[in-house]
Amino acid sequence: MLTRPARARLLVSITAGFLAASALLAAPAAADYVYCPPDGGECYIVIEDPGTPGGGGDNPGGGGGNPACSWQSKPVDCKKGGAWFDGTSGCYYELMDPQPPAGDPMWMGHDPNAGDIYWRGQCLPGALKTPNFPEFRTTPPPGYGGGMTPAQLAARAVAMLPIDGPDIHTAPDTGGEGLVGLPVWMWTPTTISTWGPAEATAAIPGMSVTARATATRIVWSMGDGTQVTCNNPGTAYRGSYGHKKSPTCGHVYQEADENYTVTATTTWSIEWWVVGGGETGTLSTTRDSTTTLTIEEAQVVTG
Amino acid sequence: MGVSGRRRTITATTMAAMLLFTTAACGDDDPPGPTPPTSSASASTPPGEAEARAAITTAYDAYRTAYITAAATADAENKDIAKYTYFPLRSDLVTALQQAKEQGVTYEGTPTWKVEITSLNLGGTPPTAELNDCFDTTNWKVLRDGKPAGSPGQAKKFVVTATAKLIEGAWYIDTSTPHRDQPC
Repeated sequence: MLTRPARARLLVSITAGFLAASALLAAPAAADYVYCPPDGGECYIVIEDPGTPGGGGDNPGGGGGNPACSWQSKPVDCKKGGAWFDGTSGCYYELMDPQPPAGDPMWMGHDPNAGDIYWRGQCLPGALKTPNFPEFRTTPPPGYGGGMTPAQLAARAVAMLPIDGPDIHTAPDTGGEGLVGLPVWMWTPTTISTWGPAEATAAIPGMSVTARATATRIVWSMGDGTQVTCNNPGTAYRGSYGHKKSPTCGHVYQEADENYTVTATTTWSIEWWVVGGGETGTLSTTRDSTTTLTIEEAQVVTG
Repeated sequence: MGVSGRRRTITATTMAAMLLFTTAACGDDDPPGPTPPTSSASASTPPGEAEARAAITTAYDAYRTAYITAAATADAENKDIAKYTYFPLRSDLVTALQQAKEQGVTYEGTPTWKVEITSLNLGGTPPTAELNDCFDTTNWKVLRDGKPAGSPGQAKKFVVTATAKLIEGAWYIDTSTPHRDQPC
């Protein structure tokens, strides 16, 4: 189960229990070490298995397997024992039951009627807080009891983003008529909603997540079976450009059609993060716009 | 440990007399309950101290028993751990059991211990106590896949210090620190 044919035995003496505990998950290096339990039981060699974050053998990926919880973009257990993962700090929290008595130093001067003391137990590598401390809170930690995680709140922020497909401009434009063999220019004016960067923040008590979207490309389906990918918003046409080709984003039709349907699809690259630090993530989404173009046969082409 | 079992309110004016009475008559009008006081609960023992000492020792024994039971199967869900221990110890123990499960490690046999209360602060906020244990792991073995897995050269019998805290009328062991370099 946990045996390995040739395991490097690097014996590191660790006296503090929490160090060993925090090394449980996603340890950066494959280093076995002697672990001495906090109650005085026999010490044993902990076998690190970096290939299986969250432990090996008996508990692959942890219980529950809820993919909603992640840390440093890797899935982690949402719940370990009575403790819930907080993606804003990288630590597991458990409501202390019973609560410490009034006057106990664990209240750190806070009014017991104003909130609760949570035990901040394990913290994952890269966590923003120190493990094994009591923490006074007026609201439960994000994600507590199956509450919303940063990734779930990020989805809300993404839905709020003021992003759209391109504000399609072409030369010739929709009302005009183009000619077979002559350049067509495509572009969108760059605004927050067409090219970004656009931001939106979603918040619940105790957690805010901001999403920022930046357009990375527009794929123009020209209606004649051609797809033109432009990694830019295109260049606005001016009459003085004459019959020049667009330097950034253009097309030349080979056949006439009164009604080419042009669909322009913007790909938005989105990054999100917990405001104040914590879990982050990336994703992408698309938005599209449509117009029509008329292209006629060229009657006379003269230099 | 002896327990007076005397839980009714004792006024200041009658306290001295009651203490003398307790010593002389050995609580023959006590309500049914735990064993009457023995030599350890002498006339100089403030009211409540004997009960506290007994409750603390009981909590320590129960914590040990709960953890030994849980460690036998690497059961991090053992309910008695939360019943007799408090943070940070409770979190440490559960984490140790979770790790034992992940590592495929169990503990077989039973340790022995001999615990004493070295100080008791019933007037504290909250009331607390300090304990000193001579913990003997000679007959408590860690196994991995059914085979002995203890790392070599470790101490078998050593001092453990612990602390207890009174919360909502119940004593909890809230820290337990093995001193593997201090034989006993």
